[in-house]
Amino acid sequence: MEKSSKVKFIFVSVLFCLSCGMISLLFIENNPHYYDPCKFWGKGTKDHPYVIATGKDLARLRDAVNKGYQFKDKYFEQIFDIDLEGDGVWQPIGNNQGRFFGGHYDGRGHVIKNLHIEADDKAALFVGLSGSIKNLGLESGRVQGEHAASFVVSGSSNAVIKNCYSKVEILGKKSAADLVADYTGRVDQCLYLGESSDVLKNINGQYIREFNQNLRDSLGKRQEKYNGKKRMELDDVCYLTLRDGQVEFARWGGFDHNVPRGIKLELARNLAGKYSAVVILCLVFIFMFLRRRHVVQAEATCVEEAVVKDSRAFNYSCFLLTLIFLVIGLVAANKVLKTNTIASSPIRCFYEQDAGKIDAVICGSSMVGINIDVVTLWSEYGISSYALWGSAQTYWNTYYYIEEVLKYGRPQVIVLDARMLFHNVEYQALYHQYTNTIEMNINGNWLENIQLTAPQTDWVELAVGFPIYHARYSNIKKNNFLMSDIDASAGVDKGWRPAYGHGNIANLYIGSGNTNVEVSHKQEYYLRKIFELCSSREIPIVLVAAATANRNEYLSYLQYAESIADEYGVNFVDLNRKDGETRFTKYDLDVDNTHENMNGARKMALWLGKYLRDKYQLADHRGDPAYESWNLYEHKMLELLYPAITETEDYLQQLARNDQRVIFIQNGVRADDEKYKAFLERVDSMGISIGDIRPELENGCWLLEAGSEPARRLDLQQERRIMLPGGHIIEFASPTDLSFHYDGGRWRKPPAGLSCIVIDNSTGELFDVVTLFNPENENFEARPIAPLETVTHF
Amino acid sequence: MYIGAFNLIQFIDDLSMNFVSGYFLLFVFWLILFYYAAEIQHRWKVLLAGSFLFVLLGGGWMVTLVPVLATGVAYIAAIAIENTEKKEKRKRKYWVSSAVLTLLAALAISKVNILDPWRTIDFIFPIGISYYTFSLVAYVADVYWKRDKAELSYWRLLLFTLWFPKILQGPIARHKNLGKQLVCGHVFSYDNLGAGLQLMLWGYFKKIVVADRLIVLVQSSFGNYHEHGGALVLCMIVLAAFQLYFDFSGCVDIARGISRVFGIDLEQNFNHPFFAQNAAEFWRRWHMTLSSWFLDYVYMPILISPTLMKVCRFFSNKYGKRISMAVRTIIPVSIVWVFTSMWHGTTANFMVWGCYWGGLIIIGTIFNEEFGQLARLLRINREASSWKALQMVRVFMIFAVGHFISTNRMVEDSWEMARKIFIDIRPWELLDGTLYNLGLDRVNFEIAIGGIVFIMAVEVVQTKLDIRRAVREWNVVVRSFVYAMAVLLVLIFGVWGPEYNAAAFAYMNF
Repeated sequence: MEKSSKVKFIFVSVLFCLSCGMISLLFIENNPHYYDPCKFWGKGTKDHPYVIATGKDLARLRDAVNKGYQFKDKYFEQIFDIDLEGDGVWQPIGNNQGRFFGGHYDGRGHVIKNLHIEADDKAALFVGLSGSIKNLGLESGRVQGEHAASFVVSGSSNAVIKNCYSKVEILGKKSAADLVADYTGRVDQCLYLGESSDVLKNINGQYIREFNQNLRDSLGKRQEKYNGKKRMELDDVCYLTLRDGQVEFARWGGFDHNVPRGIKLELARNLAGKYSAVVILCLVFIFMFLRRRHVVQAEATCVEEAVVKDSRAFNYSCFLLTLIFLVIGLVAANKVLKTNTIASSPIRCFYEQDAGKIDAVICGSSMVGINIDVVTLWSEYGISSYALWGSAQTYWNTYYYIEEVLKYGRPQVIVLDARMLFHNVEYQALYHQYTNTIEMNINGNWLENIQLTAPQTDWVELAVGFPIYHARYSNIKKNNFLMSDIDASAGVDKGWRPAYGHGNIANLYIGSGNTNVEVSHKQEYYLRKIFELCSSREIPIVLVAAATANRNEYLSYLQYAESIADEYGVNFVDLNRKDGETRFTKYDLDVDNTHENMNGARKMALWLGKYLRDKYQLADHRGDPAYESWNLYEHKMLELLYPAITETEDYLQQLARNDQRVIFIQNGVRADDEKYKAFLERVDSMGISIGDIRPELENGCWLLEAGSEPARRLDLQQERRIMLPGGHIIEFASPTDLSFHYDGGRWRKPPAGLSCIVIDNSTGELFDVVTLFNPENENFEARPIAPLETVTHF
Repeated sequence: MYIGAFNLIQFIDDLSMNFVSGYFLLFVFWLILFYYAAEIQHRWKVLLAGSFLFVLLGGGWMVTLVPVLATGVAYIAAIAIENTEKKEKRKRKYWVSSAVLTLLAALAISKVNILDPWRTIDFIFPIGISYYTFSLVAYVADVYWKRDKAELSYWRLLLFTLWFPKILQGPIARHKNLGKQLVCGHVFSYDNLGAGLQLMLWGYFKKIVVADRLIVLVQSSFGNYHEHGGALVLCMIVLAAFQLYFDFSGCVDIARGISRVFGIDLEQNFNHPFFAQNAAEFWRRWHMTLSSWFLDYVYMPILISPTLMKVCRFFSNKYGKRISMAVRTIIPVSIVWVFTSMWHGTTANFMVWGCYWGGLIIIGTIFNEEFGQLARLLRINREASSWKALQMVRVFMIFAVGHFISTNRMVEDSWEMARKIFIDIRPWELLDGTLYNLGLDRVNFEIAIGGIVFIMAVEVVQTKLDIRRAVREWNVVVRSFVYAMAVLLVLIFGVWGPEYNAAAFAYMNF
């Protein structure tokens, strides 16, 4: 063979092999029956077990075992409850052809729900076992076959089942056993709690019936205590054993409070797996490219109409320049879109803080981020606090935020949101991640946070960020390029984002009873992790539920949160139960049931500040020059966010001069309210017709009547939203119900062309003044408003 | 970042036959690298492997099997036809008709399947089947008529069928033009790369900045048109027409751009259709490869067939020349439009749509003389630019109305909407902000309208000047800056990423 053709032969065969490998890789990856041990998180060792998090993982384990992979001496841990509903009929792990599970499966106190097994011969979760199963509950389902049992049919003498229970229904044609059948191994501290008559016929039936009766009695007692909380049976009465004829209760499974080693991602291996394809492609490419140089350039078989006008260097410089411009543009766009389009996220501002000075960190979702007024904590009690929160922030997000906090400082106390425990999600929607992951500093916490908060398919989007927030251009305003509302870079912003809503209070839903909201186990898991983290650092936590409208709905769940807090000696505060002390009313709510407006947030802060000061001896830092940034923050917030009552007179006069009579009054104030009587008298004395303001005595509210002259002027029959010239929006509940949500309040228009003033009736203050009918007269200069003197007045 | 984080599983999930995905671009990027790294005579094999992989990953084995078999049919038939002596007319006819019927039968089955409301047959819809079936039919017919040579390598013909930029949304390629280009191997040229990327960028602008934005509006307002007045409905009909044009032509531009990067020129599919003066001309400019296919393989054969001649002679003898000429127009045009409407869909709305267009074209052709006389009578200068502009608007409205007939699955909906336009107008809805509550807020609406104006302005200029070439001859700094800004514009204002759900291609199911 000639040399060149030899080289060619080798090249072609290598390429062929590689491409065959690639193609087979593609199909193998895509093949659900293919098993790759690396697909599990973890290493399979005792210290780093494989992690079973979802039904998919369990299915992968099953498929691998049924293909003959025994997992001898490998360790598995189930980290969440698994619900197999929707997976249809489940096949046992292991089969009759001598394929069985030989590893160690630790349920870690979790359960498998809706396990529906139908097998022709032997039916159980495991068919054949020579390893161990621990701390696992089978919550619901049905096992059906010739020989049926819950956990194992035909296990060898070295098999161990410990600390498990089963509630599944067993239907065996030839034999039905409670837990195991045809089994020579050990069964310790396990229990069958099901109702299957097939099983109860069994010889153990007598015992089982006694166990069940005892258990039910015990559950019943606890049921009263926990007021119908669903999860209690599992976590509180978790196992019971029969010893010397006595039934002993103990915490079932026990919660292993160590950090789950499996979930710490094996980053290097993961990346290696991820990038191996790129590496192969690159190698092939380089190989082909190098090889190509040795071959005499074959003559082109067709004529190119190559119109190469410019030199090669010129062309490539164009390419390079385009790239450079693009990178510069992207960086600039990134900056504007990410940091300037909405007020910077609390975590971004946090990095600008002097973290050592923050005494109280407020962590969690908007339930604390909006509902607790950081300004008041400072102005009333001198507590230097920071609201490090995010939109619908889950506890795993919070966990990593707290880790970030502990990197930079050591707060005196952490105020933690209690309500998210019932936000039952596995992953969080991407649009929440702007405040929960994207703005974090890029480090290990950031990476783990991303991996926990989104499925793998979204990791790239989340890590890059741009795909998520590129759509924010519609938020760009002139100010984005000039200044932010509050200068984040100076560390002044303390994270609190007040709400301006004026809810349709008459329709607020107060909640009427228990609903079937499930406690989220992933949330609970990370809540416990937070408790452990803080207790290891000896930082106290206060678990806080801010007052909301739909409080009754969450009553029993908050009690559950309290029970978890009790376990760790964490203080729990439910502000819903403290209306008498906080003087919280429904008028303190924003447009929805759960967010408070500035007044509500202030009331929460007044109570909480006192509590924190007394309980944790937080120092009063007012007047300390080192804490100047809180002073600045207070000043700025008052300046920017609260309107001035002092100018009402001027505005009303201007209103009269303009012969405009449209006055919006937010509903929610009784007709006999002294303040409003005074206000109406004032309006009347200025010659403004008060005919437009109609009292609706039934609701105890003042409402603009639909179809009345002012309403018609605003064309309310057609519109629910009114875009004001300043860009703010007034949104009405409905054309007939004129209670509204007003999204502005930061800036006030000067009186020229005035036609509408926005009054907050719950405080009696002028909220904003806007021009509705003179859109062509737009050259108003926006100007800040003087601080509101009466802001402390409730 | 996309290039770095190459993840096979995710790649397979996300490729899913969609131009608007980072993974699609990644795929193209790697294919370009491999293409130019391979030896020149083997380059077409890279394309074949890539295209095959693309269809396979996007559609699965069953979907890939259909074009593979269809290519086999066309391949065997073409070689058989070429090897048959010219005298053996029957044998040649047998081959060509059996091949064409087989191909069309596969197409018909797939059409019945997707539009079958009862879903009696349940199998996967083969992607792009209308496009490659027509290409293969044209190929067999061309070989039969000796306009084209039969391809001797099955694999090369398979590449022609599967060529991935065109398989999704056309254009309907002709083997005569494309076959050789695909296999001959091209040396790397900056000009091709630049021109291709430029065309892709323009396509992406049309597709994801304008069309995908408009579709939100169009779908939401067509979905509940009951709530809106006629003025708003009319406005939406106009926007829907623009949406369809930008979506379809944008995708074709992307496909052509990608091909150009590999040194391959795909046929043009649109030639400023909204500047057409009459219905017939519109169809010579709109979806040109489809219209020219019907012209070459349906219209012309019928027009010159002896049967039609006989029929015309019969009419000529009995009713005179005028009627005979009319029949000579009506029969082939109607047949073409029956097939065209069937190609687009087999439901009632497409039938109405076919009658609408066919009728307009027939009337326009038959009464052309009368219209001329009328114009002279009314002293209209048909050469005046104002008259031409009016004609353009007229044709645009004809198209828009046609589109909205074909969009509504129920013909009654079209009636109801038409009734609203004339009776329940409610013009204030255009001004009082209702427009901004239909899914696009003010900013997005303005971007969409700005995009329409910009694209149409560019089209006007394009009729006089080759803008793309002109841009390529600009000063290097200006050019680079403009390119970079254009990419940025598409990235920022494009409807992509998790905050949007990019609209599926309008023409993908055809």
